[in-house]
Amino acid sequence: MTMTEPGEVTPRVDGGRALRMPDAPVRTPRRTGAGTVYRWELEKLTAQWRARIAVLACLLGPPVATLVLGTQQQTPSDTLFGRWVQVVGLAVPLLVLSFAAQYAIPLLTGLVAGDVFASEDHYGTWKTILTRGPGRSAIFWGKTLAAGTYTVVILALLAVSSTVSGLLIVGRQPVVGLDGTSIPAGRATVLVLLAWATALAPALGFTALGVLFSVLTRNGPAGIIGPVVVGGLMQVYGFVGSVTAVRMCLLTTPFDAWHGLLVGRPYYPPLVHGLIASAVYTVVCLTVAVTVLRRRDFDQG
Amino acid sequence: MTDADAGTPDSGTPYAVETVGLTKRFGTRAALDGVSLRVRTGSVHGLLGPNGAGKTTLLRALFGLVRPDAGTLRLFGREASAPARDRLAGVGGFVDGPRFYPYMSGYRSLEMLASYDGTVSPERIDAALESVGLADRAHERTARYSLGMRQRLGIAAALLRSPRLLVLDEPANGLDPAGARDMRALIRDLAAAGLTVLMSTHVMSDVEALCDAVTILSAGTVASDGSVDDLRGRAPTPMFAMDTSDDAGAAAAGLAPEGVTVVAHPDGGLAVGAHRDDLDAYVLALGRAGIAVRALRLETTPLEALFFTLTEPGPATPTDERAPVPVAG
Repeated sequence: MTMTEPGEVTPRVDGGRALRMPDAPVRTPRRTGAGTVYRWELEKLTAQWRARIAVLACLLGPPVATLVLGTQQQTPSDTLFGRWVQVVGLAVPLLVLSFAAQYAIPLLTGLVAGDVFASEDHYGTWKTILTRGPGRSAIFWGKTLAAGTYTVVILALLAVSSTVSGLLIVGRQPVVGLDGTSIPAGRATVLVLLAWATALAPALGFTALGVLFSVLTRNGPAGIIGPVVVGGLMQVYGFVGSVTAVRMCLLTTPFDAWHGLLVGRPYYPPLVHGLIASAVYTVVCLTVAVTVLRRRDFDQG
Repeated sequence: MTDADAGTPDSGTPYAVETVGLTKRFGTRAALDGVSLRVRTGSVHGLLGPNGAGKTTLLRALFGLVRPDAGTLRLFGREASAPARDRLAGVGGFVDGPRFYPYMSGYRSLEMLASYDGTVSPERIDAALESVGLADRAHERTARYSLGMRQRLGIAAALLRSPRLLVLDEPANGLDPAGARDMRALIRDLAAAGLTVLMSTHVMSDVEALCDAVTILSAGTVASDGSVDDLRGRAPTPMFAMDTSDDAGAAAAGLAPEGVTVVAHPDGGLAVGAHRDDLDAYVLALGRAGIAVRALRLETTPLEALFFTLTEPGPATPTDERAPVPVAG
C-alpha cells in the first residue's frame, strides 16, 4: 500500500469519473448542541408544505371566517361571543379562540410536534443525525424547541390575524363582558390579546403531548392524530363530566381560563390552575419522551 | 483477532476499533453474541456475513445507535460510554445506506451535517461534493437523487469529518459498475492516505481486492477472522468449471493428479476442485492425453468457499454441492 497525503489523487488508468479526496482545509470543530439543531429544525419546518399551509391557514382563516360570518343570517350563538361577531369587532378573536381551543390548536400543534421526531423514522435519517456532533439530548431539545416555536408562531398569527380582521372588517366597538359589563374597546383589545396569551400554556402542553406521541409511536400520522384524539376525549369529559377535580386536571380546561378576564372584576384562579396543569403535562410528557429517546436502540431507520 | 499489517499506534492503541465479547439481544434473538473484533489502525477491514449475521448491528453499535447488552467497545481507545461528540471524533461513515431529507439539496444536507459537527466550511463542502462527482447536482433536492448518488453523498458526508476511521456498510450498493469501480478506487485512495476503513460487503471480489483483514460473522458470532492471506490458506479447495473435448475421458480415473476432484457439473461439463498448482498439472495431463480444454473458469474463490463453509448450515460446501454423478460420454 503506497502512502499518499489527503488531497492527492491516485493516478487512474481506467478513465473513470473522478472520485477524489477533499483537500480543502479543515476547521477546528466547535462544540454544537441544541442551538444548532434548533436552527436547522426551523429550516426543515419552513421547507415542509404542511407547516407552510398551517401558517397560511392561520393567517388567512380569520379574515375569511369574519367575511363569511358577516354574510350569514344567523350567528354562532352557541359559542362564547358568537352572537356579537357581526356587530363587535373584538368578538371575532374571542370566537376564533373558543373554536381554536376546541379543535384547531391540538391539530395545528400536532402537525409539527407530532411529526418532528417521527419524520426521522419516516425518512430513515436518525442514523444521519445521531452519528454527528450533537448528542441525543441536544437533538431532542433542539427539535422540541422548534416545535414550541412553531406553536408560539401559530398562536400569535391566529391572535393577530383574528384581532386585526375583527377590527378592520367589523369595527372597534366596546365589548360586552361575560358578566354583562361593558368593556371599552381599548381595554378590551388588551384583554383579547391577554386571552390569547393564556392559551399559550395549554397549547405548549399539547405540543409536548405531540412530541411524546411522535417519540413513542415513531409514526407521523399517529403523532398528529394522537393529541387531537386525547384533546377530543378531554373536551367530551369537560362537557359531561361532573368531577371538578378531574376537570381541573384536563389539558383542555386551561383553554377556558381567559373567561375570568372578560368580566368587570377579573378573577385569576382558573389561570393559575391552568398554568399548573399545563406545566405538569409539559414536564411529564417531555421527561418521558426524552428518556425514551435517550434509551432507544436505533436498530432501524 | 485480526492484526493487519498496516497501521501505527494511535491514541495509545494500535486499534481503531476494539470490541470484546460484544453482545446485543433484540428480545430473545441475539443479534451479536460475544463478538470480539480488532481493526488495526490504517488497515482496510472487511466485515462479511450473510443477511442477519449481525454486521449492521455491529456497525450500529460502533456509531452508538444501538447499545450493547454486554461486552466492551472502544474506538481509538475511547470507551463507548463517552459523549457522542468525543466518542465519534474522527469516525465517519454510514450504516444501512445513507439517508437524507428529500426536501433538502445535497449541498444543504452537507451544510447541515457540517454544522452539526461544528466545522462548516464552504470550501470543504464543495471539495467533498467534487470528490464524489456530485458537484454538478449539488443543488438539486436529494429526492431526485438515485440510490447510487445518495451513496456518493453519504461518502461525501463522511469525508466532511476528516475521518481517521471510515465505516461503510455495503458501500457499492446501488452503484453501477463504473460507480462501484470508482468507489473501490476511492477506498484504495483513502486507505493509502492512512485512513482505517471498516466495510461490510457481500462482494467477495471487493474483499479480495481491498481488504487487509476480514471478519466473517455468522448468526451473531465471529465465525472466522484473520488476514486475507490467512483466510485463503484456511479456505477449502476452489472450484472451477471446465469444458473439454472429452468430459468422460477427462474424468476417468488416473488422469487427475492427487488433490484434484473431478465431477460432472450440474450445468454440463466438469466441476474441478483443485488448488492452482494441481490444476496446472491436471490441464497438462489432459493435453498429454489428447483432450482439449475449451473453457476453464473460476466458480468459487477460496474466500467464497470459506464463506459458504462457515456461514451456511449443515456440512454442505461448494464441493459437496457437486456430488459425483456419472459423466456422459
